[in-house]
Formats: sequence, C-alpha cells, structure tokens
Amino acid sequence: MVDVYWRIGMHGDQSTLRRRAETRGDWAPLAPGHLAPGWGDGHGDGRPYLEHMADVARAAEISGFVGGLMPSFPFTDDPFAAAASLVEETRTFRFMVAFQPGFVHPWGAARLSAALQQLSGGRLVYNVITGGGGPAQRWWGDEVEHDRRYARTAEFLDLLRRSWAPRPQSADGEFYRLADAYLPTDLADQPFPEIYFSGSSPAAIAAAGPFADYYLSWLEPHTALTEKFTAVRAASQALGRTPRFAVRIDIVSRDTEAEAWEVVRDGFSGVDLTALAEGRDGDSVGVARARSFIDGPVRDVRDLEVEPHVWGGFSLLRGGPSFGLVGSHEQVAERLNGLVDAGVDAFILAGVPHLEEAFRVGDFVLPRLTHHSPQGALS
Amino acid sequence: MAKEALWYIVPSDGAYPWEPEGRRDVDLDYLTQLAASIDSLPYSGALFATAHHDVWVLASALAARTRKLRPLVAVHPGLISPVLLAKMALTFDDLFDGRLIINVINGDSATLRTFGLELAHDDRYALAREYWTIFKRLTAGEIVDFDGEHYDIRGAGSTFGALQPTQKPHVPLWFGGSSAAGLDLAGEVIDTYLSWGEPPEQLVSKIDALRQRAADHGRSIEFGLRVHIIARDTEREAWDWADHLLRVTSPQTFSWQASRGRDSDSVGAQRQHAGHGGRVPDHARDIEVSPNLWPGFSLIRPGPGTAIVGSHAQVIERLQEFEALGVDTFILSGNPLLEESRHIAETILPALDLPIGASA
Amino acid sequence: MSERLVLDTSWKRWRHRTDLPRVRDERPRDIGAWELVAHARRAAEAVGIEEIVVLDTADGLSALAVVPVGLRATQRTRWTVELTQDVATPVYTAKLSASLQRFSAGRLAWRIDPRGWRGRHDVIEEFVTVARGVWRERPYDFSGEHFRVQGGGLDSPLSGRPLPPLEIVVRDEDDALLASRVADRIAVETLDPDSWPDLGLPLAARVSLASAATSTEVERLSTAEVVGTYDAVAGRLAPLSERATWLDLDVGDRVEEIYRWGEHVAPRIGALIHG
Repeated sequence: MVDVYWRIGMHGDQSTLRRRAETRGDWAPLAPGHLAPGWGDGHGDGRPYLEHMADVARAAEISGFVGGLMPSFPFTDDPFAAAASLVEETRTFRFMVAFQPGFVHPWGAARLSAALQQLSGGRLVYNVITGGGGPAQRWWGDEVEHDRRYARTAEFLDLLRRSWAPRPQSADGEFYRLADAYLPTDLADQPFPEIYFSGSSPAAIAAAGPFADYYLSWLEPHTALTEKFTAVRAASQALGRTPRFAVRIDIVSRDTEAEAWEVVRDGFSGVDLTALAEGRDGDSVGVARARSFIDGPVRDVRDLEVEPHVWGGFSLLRGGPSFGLVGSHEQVAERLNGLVDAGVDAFILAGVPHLEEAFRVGDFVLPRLTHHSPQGALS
Repeated sequence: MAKEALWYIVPSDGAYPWEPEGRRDVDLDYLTQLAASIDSLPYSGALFATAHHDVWVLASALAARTRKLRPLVAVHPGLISPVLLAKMALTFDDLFDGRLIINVINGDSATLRTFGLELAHDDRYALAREYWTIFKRLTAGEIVDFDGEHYDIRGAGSTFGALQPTQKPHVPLWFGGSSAAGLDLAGEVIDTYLSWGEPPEQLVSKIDALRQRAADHGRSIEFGLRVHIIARDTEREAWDWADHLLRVTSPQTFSWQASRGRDSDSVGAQRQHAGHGGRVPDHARDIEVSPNLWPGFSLIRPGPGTAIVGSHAQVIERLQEFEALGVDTFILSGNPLLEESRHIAETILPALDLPIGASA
Repeated sequence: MSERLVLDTSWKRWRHRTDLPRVRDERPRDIGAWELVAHARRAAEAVGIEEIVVLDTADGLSALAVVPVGLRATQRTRWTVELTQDVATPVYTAKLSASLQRFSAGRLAWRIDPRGWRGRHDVIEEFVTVARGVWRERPYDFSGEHFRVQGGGLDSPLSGRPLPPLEIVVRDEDDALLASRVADRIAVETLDPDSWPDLGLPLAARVSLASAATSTEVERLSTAEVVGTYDAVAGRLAPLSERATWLDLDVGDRVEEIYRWGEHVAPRIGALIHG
C-alpha cells in the first residue's frame, strides 16, 4: 500500500500557477482579494495564516490524503507549532513535521513528540532534514560543519529513540548528553513516529540506515530517480536493510491534457526567457538541474518537458522543486502508478493553490491510483 | 454600493454535481469546511438551498461551527405552525447571536402536495400573507392574537418565556417569486426581494414595480440578486467551461429538467423555460440572453438557472451594472462551492467594495 | 490582583483522577494528562481566570506541546510556557514562539525556573539574550559561551510581534539577580511578602489550593500555609494584592477547586480589596 500525503504551505500560497503572486498569507503585502489575512476597510482582517493551514489540512483529510508535509525554513511558520495547533481539528490527518536535529535536544524532541502522539492518536510523522551547513545553518545558530552533520543526525535519532522509554537513559555522545532521560509510562507507550529522511548519499544512508523508514526525494526524470533508488538499495543491502522510498511531486492535473498545459503555459509566459538563458533568473539552479536533462535552448514551455508529462520548470512558477507532472487525470495517475511499479512506497503530492487542488487531486487522481492506503493513524 | 454578498450551501457539490461523475462525497466534515471557508471570506452569509437535507438541521449544525455566517434558511409557509417556526427562529437567534434570515419559498403545488398541503397557486399566497404576518409579530416579541382565513390563534408567544428577540425589528424575511401574487406579497411583508439573474432592462422594471408596491404599503424594500458565476482569466475559458458543462450533462438530466420546467406552475421556472424552450444548444453562447448572461443552468437543474459567464473583468462589470440598478445584496455561487467561494472572493469581491463585517 | 492557573501535568499528581468525565466523546482512547489540560482550561475560562501557566516537568506533558493546543482551544486565555534546558535552541524557541504569537494574537508568555536549568544562570541569560536578539534584530550576530548565531534574526511576517513577556522563578538571591537582569515579571513560591524580592517587577505568588478553603472545615495543605474557611482564606490572601499582581493557583489534579475558587473565594477577595 502506498501512503499518499499532501503538502501544507508554511509560508503562504498563490491562488494560481498562472501568475506568480502570493495572495494567501502575509508573506506578500496585503491587498484586496488576499486571504488569511483578508483585506477590508484598508487593512488586514486579522485572520491568522494558521486558519488557512487548517483549511488545507481539512481539505486534504476530506479528499482522501493520509496527511501532509509541513516544511520548515527560516522564513516559514514553524511546523511543530502549527501541527500542535491543528491536532484537535483533524481526525485522521498525519502531520509530517520537518525539522533538523540542530533545533531540538533528543529528549526534548521525544517529550514533545510523545505528547502530540498521545493527543493525536499517533498522527505525527517526522521529516528529518540534515541541512547543508554554511550561512543557512548559522542563521539557526547551528555551527556543526558539513562533514559531521550526518554523524550528528545519526546520534540524534539514536538518542531520541533511546529516550523514548520509561527507564532513565544516560549517554555521553559527541553532540548530545542524555542524563536520566525517560518518558512517563503512558507517553513511552505511544508509537514512535515514522521517519521520512531527506538525503540519499552514501553518507546519508550510513547515518540514517537504522532509523529511516522512507528515503524522501523530489521528483526527477525516471532514469535519474531509479538510479538513485538502485544506489540506496545497494548501500542499504550492504548494511542488511531494505529501504523504502517516498517522492515529493507537484501536479497540474486537468480533465484534458491540453487544459493542464494551458495552465503551465500561462505561468511560463510570465518568465523572462532571456534572463533565464543568461542564468540571471532567480531560480537558475533549479532550472539548470532541469536543463541537464534536455538538449538545446528553452524557448517554449514544452522544451522543459524532459520526458512525457514530467515538466522541469515548476520552480519558475512558484518556490520549490523543479520537476512535476502535467497532464490529464488519467495521464498523471498513470505516471504515479508507474512510479509505484518502479519502487515508490509513498507520495507527497502538491498543487497550487493547495486547498483547491487537494480536492481536484482527491476527486480525480487518487481514485485512479492502484494501491493507495486508507486514512488513519499508523499503529 | 452593494451592502453584502452571500454564498450558497447545498449538500451536493462537485464540478458538476448534477451528474454522478461530477459529484464528490459530501458529509458533515465537508459541509463544515465549506461553511468555515465562507465564514472566513468577505461573505456575510449563505443561502441554504432546499435539497435532501432539512435546512434547519443543516443550518443549526453549521452555525455552531461558524462565527459570523448568516444562514438564509428556506421555509415553505404552511408546512409547520407559524408559532413553532417563530419559536425555532428565536431559539436560533438566541443561540447564534441573531444571525438568522428566512428565505420565504412559495414553491409549487406538486411539491407541497407531497407534504400533505393542498393549495392552488393564489391560495398559497393568501396563506403566506397570514403566515408571515404572524411570524413577524412573534419574532418582534409580541404576544399575538390572530383571526384570519387560514389561522385562528390566541395568545401565541405567551409560552416563549425568556426567549426574547435578538434582531430588530424582527427576523428578516427574504423572498423571490415572479408572479403577480408573489410581487404583492413581497410589497406587503418582505424585507428583501430576491431576483434570479435577468437582463438588466427586465430587472429594472421589476425593481421599480416592487418599490411601488412596497410604497403602497408605506414600506421600503431591498433587492437581492441570486446568480451563478462562471469567471475565468479569459472570456474564452469561461465559455469553454459552459460548453464543457453542456457536454458532460446526460440526456436524462436534460429531459428530466425540461419536463419540470414545462410542467411547473412557478412563474420563474416558466420564464426561464421560455428562454430556450428546453432545447439544448450546440454552443453555450447560442442562448446568451444579454452580454455574459447565460440561462444554461435552467436546462440542467431546478432553481435559479442564470449564470454570469465571462472573464473576471466582465463578471465584475456585469455585477457593477446590477449594483447601479439598485441591487443591495448578491447571492453568488459557483461549482465546486468550496473552491469557487475562494476564487470569487479573490477575484470578484474586491471590486464590489463591500463593507467588511456588514453583517456581524 | 488577578489569578493565574498553574498547570502541572505530572502523572504523579494526575494519576489518581480516574473519576473525571472524559472531555471529548469522540475519542474512546486514553489521552492521559490531556484530559486534565482540557478540564483545567475550561474551568479557567468558566471562572474568568485569564492566564494559564504550563509547567514543564519530566513526569508530565511537554509544555511546548500543551501551549499551542491551549492557545488554539481558547479565544482569550493567555498561556505561559515554561522553557527548560535541553529542549530547544534559543533560535528555534524564538521561531516557534513567533508562530504562536501569530496564531494567537500575542497571547504567549515565557517562564524560566532556574531549577529546570540545573541552576545555570549563565546559560539562561545567554539563552534569553539570543532568543530576544533574533526576535528584535536582523541581521543578528551573537557569539557567547553557549550559543552562537551569524546573520540571524526573524524576518517579516514572523518578526515584529510583541515579544513574549518573560518571568523568572525566584527562590534565592542568585535567582533575584538573574531576574533583575532579564525578567519582565517574577514568580515566587511563598506567601510571605517579607521574603519577596523587591525588583520593581510585577510579581506572581503561588498558592496551593488543594482544598485550601472550605465553607466549614479545615484541611491540611501541602505547600502553602493558607488554611481555613472561605472568609479566612480570602482574608489571608487579599492583603497580598498590595504587592502581588497575580495569585498563581495550584490545584494539582483537583480541577473542582478552580470552580470553588471562582464561586466562593474570588468574590470574597474582590470584596475585601475593593470594599
């Protein structure tokens, strides 16, 4: 069975992929027509963005998704705060909370998580991110350098698991100390959250191996993705483990393929192609990744279609990864089913705007997936 | 300037919910989200349509999960005692801070007969006049004695105890009905008259006639426009969607609706039917009755059958024209209701310059 | 003087309460001390207690889990979260708190009890400095003994919200010194005003209400010396209003004491203070 998650934007949303303008949340200047906060009488209506996150979570729950990924960056709202806030207004929705080991102490993470597991009935899921070091890390007050980061992640996950127990545990690690860490019995009895692990290099696999339930990747063209799976499998096999895979995918799915491409074409028409060609575009890194899969210049929207229905220009239309699927509901579902055949065990899907697209994908794509699992907490 | 916009709630939703393929599962969770969505947007309330759910039960459930949403609740006069109805209305307002609006429905004789009420068209209006007079006095807090053709009541309201009116002067009554008897009723007892989407020149004569009738009774009356919206970035996309709706609708749906339109004794339904005679056009635009005004939904489903179809800018223009004619209230809808409530709030409502919190 | 409710979810204090009715009927499963949280916040709302102080004890629920849930479940109640060592970094604490301020229209406050930091006042002071630094400044740089940040600082729209007021629990002179340097308010655990530090800061005094007051009989108390009839207890506590801004009510697991307080004691104190 395949767990299909949705995504909750933690820093606003656009109302359409056709125009790059954030109209939901307060990350862009407020104006008439904006939502959460809305606008009236010349000022914001005071509705917190949390209300919109709640709407998206409920939409995903109603539409048949098992839960949603809640990313974490310096400019986003915090996913632990948001997940805790929304536990009581959802029933089956699993909160996949992104965090880095550098943010929290293993025992603190265990206490926080076990409490949320108890309240939610086991609906917390981790997206563990190791982070790359450098200025972004020093923003967080995290000085551990690149090479030691996976070692720290491994130690963190180890101590997190060990402190999830009723008997006091002590440990003197390289990065963390546990002194009589434990959980009260009823909290220690809570299920340990599933771990979606971001990173699939040999160093990552060595670190995550004993702990990762899923290796999470962004969508890439078929060959690149299956090569990655093969490498992770090989490295895991050497350690005696069988890995599972999750892929995060943006979707533009419509009744007809032509309608889907029209959405993307509209958005693409706003892109400065000269700037893009000269590498001056803001998202040149993401696009460069897409262009490594194609020949020749990018003149038309379809030039970034690296293989049927896999389009590499998403980062031009909204913040985030490059590749996503464009097509009719049948075509998109077929690609997703194909990925399952290639070894994918879970999906994190996304579409702009997240609230409305959750219904569309839930109405028309999910029913066409061959193996998606029912909603409910993991036991 | 328009005073407010309402959205629409009916326990059946999807891209084209009149066909099984276009319908999504609707349960309390979904309806709650729909209501919460409307509550969070610059709508003052929602029209609760009569469908397979009883609207009172549905409106109560959703009022409990919202803070400002005013439900416009459909009531057929005569099916329950006006005194009991007044008690329900006062209770609702007591629990939910005076948010109730009653949508007076006179319906058609065939439907009422299924509830055991046998009344010819004009008799319905005679009963309605008595019914709503009693209701208004009770929801204004009076103890009512009434001696009429249909009702003979003594001491109504004397058992309501601590139940006091929340809204002044009484729970508002909205109504839409195009027959002469309906217009007379509106002039006499109704606070807001609702019209389905009609070409502006037709609407303006209706508004004038209503104003005159109300003035005859020493009253004033407000106007609401109930219209469906298909708004897209471009005009072409909007009409493509209208064409798409005609394509995905089954022959059975068309023929069922055609027979309903033909046989109804509702003047509104007859008028709409006359617009196209029940014939399904090859192209949606073939029946565009005035710029961007499309009666296509009357081919598909009962109730208000007119949509404004066009680019966002065109839809705004049409609504502003209606505003200029004296429309105070818009009741808008689009499918799916949840997604379109946001889409319209983002693209159309800002241009209507509605006062925020007009209702709450 | 107004009251705050101190919430300690430690199982040792909570385990005996098998008699409380379940707060939610949709959840057949056991939600442990979350029941206490729900009962306590409902009682607080019912009797007009406007702030709840959530302690972070290893035997109980993480305060960082309780407070977001509490903020979302209430419209007006302010929630104070106890921050302990070995939970989150100061930057993460600030960022998470910034979201909570956004979600709750600024109803969050911070509390630090030096006992939860192994008495490390130096660590506390740096922690607070960094958490406030990233809240107020961008870019923010700090290099201390325990924490370092480069190019930090919250950006719009996370920035610009009111900083959660910080209270320090004061038991001795070292605590008082720390409080004088970083605190917006202080919390004390005795009811003897002569022992209270005079820092010119708003002060909360903790009173145990494990049947502190009854109409007719007298019961022994666990931590505070307040014993007696409603009138006696009110008479004992009312004079504290000269120096205490809040009374921190600690009822343990006896949620019904909150109602009893609201019904019987609070009005008597109000009458004594305001004549």
